Parts: sequence; C-alpha cells; structure tokens
Amino acid sequence: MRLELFIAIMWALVLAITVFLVIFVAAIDLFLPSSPGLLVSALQAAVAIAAVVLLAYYLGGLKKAYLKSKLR
Amino acid sequence: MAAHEVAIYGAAVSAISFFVVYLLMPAAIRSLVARGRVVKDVHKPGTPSVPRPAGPVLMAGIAVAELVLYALTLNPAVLAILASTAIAFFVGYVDDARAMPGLFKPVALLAAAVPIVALGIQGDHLNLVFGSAFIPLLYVPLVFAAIPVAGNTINSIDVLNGVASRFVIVAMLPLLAAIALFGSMDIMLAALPLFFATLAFYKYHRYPSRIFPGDSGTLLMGVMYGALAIAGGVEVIAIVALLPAVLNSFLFLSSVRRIVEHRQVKARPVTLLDDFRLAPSTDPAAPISLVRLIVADGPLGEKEVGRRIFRLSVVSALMAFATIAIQYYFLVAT
Repeated sequence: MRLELFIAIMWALVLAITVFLVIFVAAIDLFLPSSPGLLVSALQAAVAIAAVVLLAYYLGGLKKAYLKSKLR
Repeated sequence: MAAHEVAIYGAAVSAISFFVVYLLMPAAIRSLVARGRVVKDVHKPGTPSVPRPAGPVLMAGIAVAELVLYALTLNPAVLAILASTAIAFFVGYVDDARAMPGLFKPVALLAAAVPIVALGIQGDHLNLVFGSAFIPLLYVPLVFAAIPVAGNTINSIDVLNGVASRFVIVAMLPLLAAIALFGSMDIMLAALPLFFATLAFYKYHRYPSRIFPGDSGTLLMGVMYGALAIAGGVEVIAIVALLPAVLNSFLFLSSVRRIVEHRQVKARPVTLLDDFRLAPSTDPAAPISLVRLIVADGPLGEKEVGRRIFRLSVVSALMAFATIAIQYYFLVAT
C-alpha cells in the first residue's frame, strides 16, 4: 500500500470521527439543555475521548497491517 | 474590514515578515558560525557544520509583522497568537541552548496555550466539518492539549534539510483559505506572517541547508500554526493538512511507547549507507518513522526522501482543500 493511500485512509477516519462527534457530542448539549454546564462538558469530554481512543485503535491496526507489508 | 484594507494590511505584514527574515538570515548565519553555534549535518559527506538555530530571526520577522497588524486592527486575537508563538519560541530556545529531558517541551508548551484561553480566542463552538459542537467549557482543555501537540508535530517532522519549512508552507495554503472562509479577515492577516516568514526561511533551509531551524524555529512554527487554527475555527482542516506529520509522530510514539527526546533514543530508525543514501534500520528496537517507511522500498538519497515527504504534504493539502469544500457545503451553503 502506498503512503499516499495510507494518508487518504487517515483522512477518511478523521472525517468519520467528526461525523460521530457532530452526532453525539453536539446532541448531548441539545438533549440536556437545562443541565449544569460542567455535567454536559464532562459527558462531551467522555464521548470525545472515546472517539479519539477508537481512532487511535484503528490507526494502530492500520499501522500494523502496513508495517507487516513494508518492513520485514 | 473593507477589501482594500485587507489588501493593504495583507501586503504590509507579508512584506515585513518576508524581508525581515530574508535580509537578517545571512547575518544570523555568520554570527552563529562565528560563535561556534553549529551542529553536524550527518547525512552529508564530510558531515559539514551547519549553524543553528534560525528561530530568533523567524521570531523577529513574525513579531514585527504581528505588532504592525495589531497597531492597525487593535484585535486582541493578534496579540494572543503572537504571545503564544513567543512562548513557544522561548521554550524551543532553551532546548536549543541546552538539551532538556523529553517531557520538558510538551509540559512547557502548555504555557503557550494560556494567551489563547486567557483572551477567549477559541470561542465556544468547535467546527467539525459536518456541523459544529457547542463546547464552551470543554474547549479550554482542548486548547491546552492541542497547542503542545501542534508544536511537537512540526518539531518531529524536522528530519532532513528543508522538510519542516516546506511542510509548513504547503500546510499553510489550505489553512489560509479556510480561515478566510470560516474565520475572520483579521486572523487570516495574522496568518500571513507565518507563511511569508517561513517562505523566506526556506531559501536558507532547503537542501543543502545553510542553517537549521532548531527547536526554537520548529516549535514557534507549530504552535503558531495551532494557534491560528484555533483562532480561525478551522482545527479539523488544519489537522488534515498536517496528516503526514501527525502520522510521523504517531508512528514514533506508538513504537517508543513513551514521551522521550529523540536524542535519547539510541536505536535510529534509518541507517546511512556508505554512499550516503538512507536505508531502513533492521534493528527491531529502532522506532518506526515516516522516513523509515519511505525508504522501506529501497534506499534513497536525502533530497529524494525530502521530495517524497513534499509529495505527501501536497496530497494532504489537497485533502484539506476537499475538507474545506465539504465544510463550506454543510456549514455555510445549507
């Protein structure tokens, strides 16, 4: 796999994460309009961190697959 | 701001930053050589000595331009961006003068986020391409995380002659367009000095380098890039433009599994052949890096590796422009 394709897959993952964040992080504020700001922010942070961890996990898997084919 | 004001202010700050760097750099090179502030360029025959750092001249060019812009616009965001950049420059300058432990830079760079947060430059809506999220409280820790990461990402791509400066120049193109579309003209004007100062610096940093940026140069470039992305509300687009450098950092960190100064890692990711071409290391303990992946298909000379990284930066800049188009459709057109 060429590096350019690897970068393109990373781009797709970034866009997928932004869709996830728009749907779930933005929605928290809409579903809890009268809740304390700190609670809403904590929930948003938890969802965002979960999304980043997921991204890092998939990126790690992609990296392993790429390295297996490239570095022997 | 009227169009003619944007044009005049833009031309002024661009010219100031470009010519300050372009005209002062030869004197800086002579001064550093005279004071023995040189390092070995190990990828060249004879390992010539190259002066370092270029950070002070870059900082001078950017600072003068930003101060002129502040005088013209009185926008505190311009001062915040300048202050963040200056803090990053000082952190890098300390590291240039005396190699500090691995955690020094990321921890010290937290201070560079303070001006942005203190003046509320980040706002409370995070643009996420397909929509935006209202995160008034969460945005603050995000800024403190993003600024050190941005600084260290550019710092870590400074691997070969001309790579870091050329990378920043290419990444700035979609960033400028995005800020003009989604941010404000003041922030777009504040971004021009980074682009033009780096463009002027590239003349001296390109292969074969006559001066290296040092940590003071790369950290100020990276932090300013991050500060502009935050002030302009275009963080995701900025990340896309930096993807090859992000990949490089991710590869290094995931293989070393700790935050550590590059100099402290004994095993090198690439080896230098007798003909000065770069080849991937066969040491299983060697960290993975972008350069190691590039030369995995066969040894390459330094200039060719630089060209490959440039190609990757162009690809990610094109993806950033595509992201701009998508965000424009979802946030502006609909």
